[in-house]
Amino acid sequence: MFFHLSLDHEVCLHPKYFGPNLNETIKQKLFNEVEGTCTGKYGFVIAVTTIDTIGHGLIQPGRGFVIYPVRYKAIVFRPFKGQVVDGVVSQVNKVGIFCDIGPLSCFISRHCIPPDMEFDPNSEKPCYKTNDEATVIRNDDEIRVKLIGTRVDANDIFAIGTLMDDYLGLCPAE
Amino acid sequence: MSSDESDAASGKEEDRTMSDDDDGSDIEIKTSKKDRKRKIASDSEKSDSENEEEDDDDEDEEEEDNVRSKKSKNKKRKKKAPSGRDFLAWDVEVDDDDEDDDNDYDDEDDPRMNAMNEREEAERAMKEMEMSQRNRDRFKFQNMSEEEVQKYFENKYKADKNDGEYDDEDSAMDDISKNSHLPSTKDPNLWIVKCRMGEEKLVAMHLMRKCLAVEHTNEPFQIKSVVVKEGLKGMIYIEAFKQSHVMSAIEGFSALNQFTITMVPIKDMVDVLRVVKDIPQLKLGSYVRLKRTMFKDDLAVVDLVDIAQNRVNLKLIPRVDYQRRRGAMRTEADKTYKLKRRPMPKLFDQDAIKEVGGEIVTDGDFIMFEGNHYRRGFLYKYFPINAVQADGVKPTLGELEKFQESSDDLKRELETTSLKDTENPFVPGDIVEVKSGELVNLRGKVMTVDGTKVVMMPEQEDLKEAITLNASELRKHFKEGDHAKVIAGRYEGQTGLIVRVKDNTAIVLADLGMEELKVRVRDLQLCADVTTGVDSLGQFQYHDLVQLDTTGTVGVIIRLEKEHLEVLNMHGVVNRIKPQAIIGKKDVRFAKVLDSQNNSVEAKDLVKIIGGPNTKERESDEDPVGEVLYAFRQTVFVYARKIAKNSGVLVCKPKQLLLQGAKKTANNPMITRMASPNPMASPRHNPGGMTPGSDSMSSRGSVGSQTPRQNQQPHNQRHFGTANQQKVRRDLTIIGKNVRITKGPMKGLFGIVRDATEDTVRVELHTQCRTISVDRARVMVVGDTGITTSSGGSSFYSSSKTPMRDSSKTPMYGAKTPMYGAQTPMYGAMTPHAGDRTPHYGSMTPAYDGGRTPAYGDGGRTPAYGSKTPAYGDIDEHSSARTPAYGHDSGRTPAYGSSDSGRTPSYGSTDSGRTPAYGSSSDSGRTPAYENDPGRTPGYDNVPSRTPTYDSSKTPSYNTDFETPMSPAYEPESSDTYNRAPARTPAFDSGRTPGYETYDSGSPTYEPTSATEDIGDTSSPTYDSPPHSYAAPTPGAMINPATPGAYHIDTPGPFVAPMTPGTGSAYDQYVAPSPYMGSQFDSNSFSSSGGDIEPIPEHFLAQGHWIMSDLCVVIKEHEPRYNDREAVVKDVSDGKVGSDNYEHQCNS
Repeated sequence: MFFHLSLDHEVCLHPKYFGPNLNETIKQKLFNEVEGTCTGKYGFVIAVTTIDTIGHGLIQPGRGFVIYPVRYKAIVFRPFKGQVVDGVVSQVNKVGIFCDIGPLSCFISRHCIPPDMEFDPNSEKPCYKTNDEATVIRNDDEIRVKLIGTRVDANDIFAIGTLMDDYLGLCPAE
Repeated sequence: MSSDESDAASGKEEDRTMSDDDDGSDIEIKTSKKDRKRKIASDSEKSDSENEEEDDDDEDEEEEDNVRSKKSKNKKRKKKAPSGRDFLAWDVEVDDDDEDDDNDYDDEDDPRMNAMNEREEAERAMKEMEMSQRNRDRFKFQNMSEEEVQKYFENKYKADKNDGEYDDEDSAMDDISKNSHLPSTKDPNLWIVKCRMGEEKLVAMHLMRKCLAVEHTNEPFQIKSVVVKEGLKGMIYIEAFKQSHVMSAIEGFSALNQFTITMVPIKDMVDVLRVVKDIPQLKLGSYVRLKRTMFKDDLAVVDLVDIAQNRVNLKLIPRVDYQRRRGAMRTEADKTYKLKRRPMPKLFDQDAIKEVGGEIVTDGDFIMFEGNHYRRGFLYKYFPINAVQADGVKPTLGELEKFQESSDDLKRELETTSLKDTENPFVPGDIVEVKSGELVNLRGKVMTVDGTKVVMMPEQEDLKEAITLNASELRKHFKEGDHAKVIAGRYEGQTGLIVRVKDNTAIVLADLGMEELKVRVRDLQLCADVTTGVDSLGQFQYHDLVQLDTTGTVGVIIRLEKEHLEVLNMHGVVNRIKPQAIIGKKDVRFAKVLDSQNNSVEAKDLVKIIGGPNTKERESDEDPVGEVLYAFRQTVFVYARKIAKNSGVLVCKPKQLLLQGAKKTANNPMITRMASPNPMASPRHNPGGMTPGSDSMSSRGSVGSQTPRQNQQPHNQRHFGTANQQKVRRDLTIIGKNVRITKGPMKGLFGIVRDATEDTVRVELHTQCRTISVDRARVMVVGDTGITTSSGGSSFYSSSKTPMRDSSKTPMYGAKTPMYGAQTPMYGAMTPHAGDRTPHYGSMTPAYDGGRTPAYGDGGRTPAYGSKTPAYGDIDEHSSARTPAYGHDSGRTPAYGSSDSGRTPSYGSTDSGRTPAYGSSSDSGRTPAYENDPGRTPGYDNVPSRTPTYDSSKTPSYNTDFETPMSPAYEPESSDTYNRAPARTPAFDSGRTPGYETYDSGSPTYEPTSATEDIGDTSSPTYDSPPHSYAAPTPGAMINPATPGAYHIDTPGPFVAPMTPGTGSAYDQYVAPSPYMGSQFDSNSFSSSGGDIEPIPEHFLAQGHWIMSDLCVVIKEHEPRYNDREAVVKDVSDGKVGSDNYEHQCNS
């Protein structure tokens, strides 16, 4: 699920950046440091939309670096248990399917793939397919997954999903 | 508890029962009233009434020894009761005319006979008691005929009868009927009386006796009964209508506490007296052990349970004696044959039996032999239930295997059978599901656990109250996606997400290694935290390289289990071994191999696997990429995260790999070594003439100031050809110092140097509990200047410098002064140790260094240089502009330039800055010497010449230097020497030192010189011209001039900034950039420098030394209003100073 959140971040700046472009530098640094990261609490920070305030810098004793507290708004992506999402298959092997849901990587265990789909290691690309080959899931396919669990680490989120539900599985090609 | 018919008949009765300990029932003394009736479910009390009604059959006798049987319990009391109770029961039965009971007692009459006397006595007493109390209870029946009374009781206890009947057969009915017996408000209450521990039963007996004793008195007991609960220590229950009744009854009992009598709420009364029945949970297929018979301790499987017959049919492995001859083959000897030992358990062997003449009959599916049934080799036999132990049976794997026909069978069995465990697998917080009973499939959360009882809160909305259940009725419940931890079994300790739950097993996707674990549900536990990288098992860690045998086989640990390690060996085979089987860890951190394109590959390099068994399986795939864990001979262990097999560890041959990306820049150890010669070592080197002390200094300085290696290299190489040959030595000088790491991932951390070579230091970090190796160029000594200097901190220029610089920065002056002080003592010290010079150098250097080293060093050498260099840039221009000679110098080395430039204004400043004496001396000596005066030049010249001497033996050289400076010989070569001199730094040093020494000695010349004249010269642009100063300046002077000049002029601003103590850190950073400091200079450093302005000792100003920008000055002579006021110098030009504070031009 996506959220638009107001977040805080501290930008630590080398004194050499103190100059006319200071604000620009701070913004740039904020983007670099924040976008694409993941916090267990809020999920993946997709993009910074606005920068609300850049606080007063605090010189670090003994270092000369300055820390600017920055408050910004960002779009974050936080996966939840039970959420149904679309992903792109990134790896298929006998234990299951790995897929990427944007920045989130998700694993669909063999046990969570409908039993009528079987792993075929011998095809050109390894895939899961039904006997009649009506459905074939291979690398780079788009699939719809229901997340059945997430493991939230300090700076990463990992999800496991299932295809064992209605309307899950391979997305019809557009 | 309940009154009997006997009650009715007598109107009043004393009923006391006491049961044996073994069945967990209660002792009770009871005074019952007719109108009181209480039935409590499954309460042993109830059995009393049953006794009286006595529809029990003779089978009870048979069951007597079956402790666990419900029925038997009912009877038990009656049968095993000690004499006192017998008596009462007998009494009751007599009243009842109950033949059965009589019979019962006859069966076991011994105790009763013994108690005959007592019984008679009690009988008499009771009759009397009845008489005395008759009035109360009897009135009720007074008007009734015998029959009516009979009817009354029949009606009243009809339910009881039912109860008794159903008790055996239908517990559901029992439950319902029980409700009618629950206590109501009309019934007497139960009172808890605290009792001395262990005297509960005794007290109950005493109470009974007392009761009997007071029966005939005016104050008979008004309590109804006394109940002692088996196993409940420290309290007894007394049934009575009022608390005062209890009080009066227990009066005089020291073991009872009269003051803490509390009432049991009516709704809790049932629970108080509930007896928890421990019915053996014998289920089909469960494993049991036998308690006796020939099969004692044998494992058996329950095949059939016959509760009615109180026996169980077990399947077990027979113990047949195949030695003994049977039937026709039997001989006389066999008749007397006595079994000495019980035969070994063995599946029934028909052939063997036939061999000994046994007769085998088939009975349907079974084989009959000697009255026993066998099937598929197993013995099926009935055993009394009480011969079977059902609790806590833990079959060993070996035993289980014997019971299984195939291993698959076994597996299934293991997964589906729930072995009864003595321990309760549940903990509060578990989600459980009821797996049997009427609540089957009910889910709930475990609230509390008490022994084998589990209190759980159902998840159903309608059920709001916690339910207590047996642990054996529950199983853990997990949903897919739960994060759980394996708490037992092979995977113990691992955590993961549950992917699937099927029957009793769950499939868990481990957090580590992406592998799926098949785990029994009971071994899982919900858990939020993640195991962090598999922990270590003893000394071994995940991904350790270990040696597996003495032939040199090594492997990488790819998985740690509770007692095993999985090791991927160099042949690509995974072994599961015990840690003890490992010979040891292998350290091949620095091993290198050549990849397919002959790139050197070592640990931590990224490689692509382009061949061999681990390569991509299809053309369309990408080549796997991984990080080299270890390179060992011709085997490379690569860790590829994307590969699930073997936790991503692959075994490759080097030729199957291709290095990815650029390697981290290789350090050339030679250069490093050269770059940082050991200051201590320098004396030794010197003989070779190679490493001048100054060199070391400069290089150190560079280290401190972080000048990029490259800068140093050329310099070093040029100057120290031989330095290369030195071995890596431990550098004692820095050990124990506080350093800060100035570069790399650890940048900014502080630590103490524990060990040091010439190119690396081992730093014990303050912040993290570890010791790391850091390139020498990446640390900077921080902390006490004094220490550094004295300890030959020369190597750490920076350290010594820092202070210097700082002070030197803004006010230059200020800084120097302290230096001076320091130096002087130093000097004294120095002389003694030539070797020390360097240190002393170091210390000195600071003052000088800034200026000097760089100057001399030829920019390239020392970081200081580096930093200066920028300054140089400026300087050079200056200098070149100024003096031709200088220009020369500057051209060569920035230092020179600097010195030159420095000279004019800076010179003055430096000199003064250092010490007045210095200043003066140097000034006078220097400036002139340098540029104009031949006299000086000699000094210079000397320097070069010195240098060698220096190197060899500093101190001595120093002295010589001193003297030498004057020598004219120098002059001619001055320019050349200069050039060389820079290279030699030592010259510088020496130059200084001498100067210093002179100082120390307090040579009159210096100080006087330093005085006004010099200053005047220095400060004024006209510096070059003053000839008089020259005369005084000596070598020392020379030196000074150079450096100071460099400092001031060049970088006054920038330098200062970096140096400032406050900005210590900033400084470092600056230093590196210093090359382009020139530009930055204005913007950044200045500002900071401004902040660090220190007041300058007055005497400096008084002496009118040099003045430079940003200097704090006190205006000495000006308009009266400005006099004695402080100001900051804004700009200096032609002997005039623009001061900041007053926006005023002052004459310096």
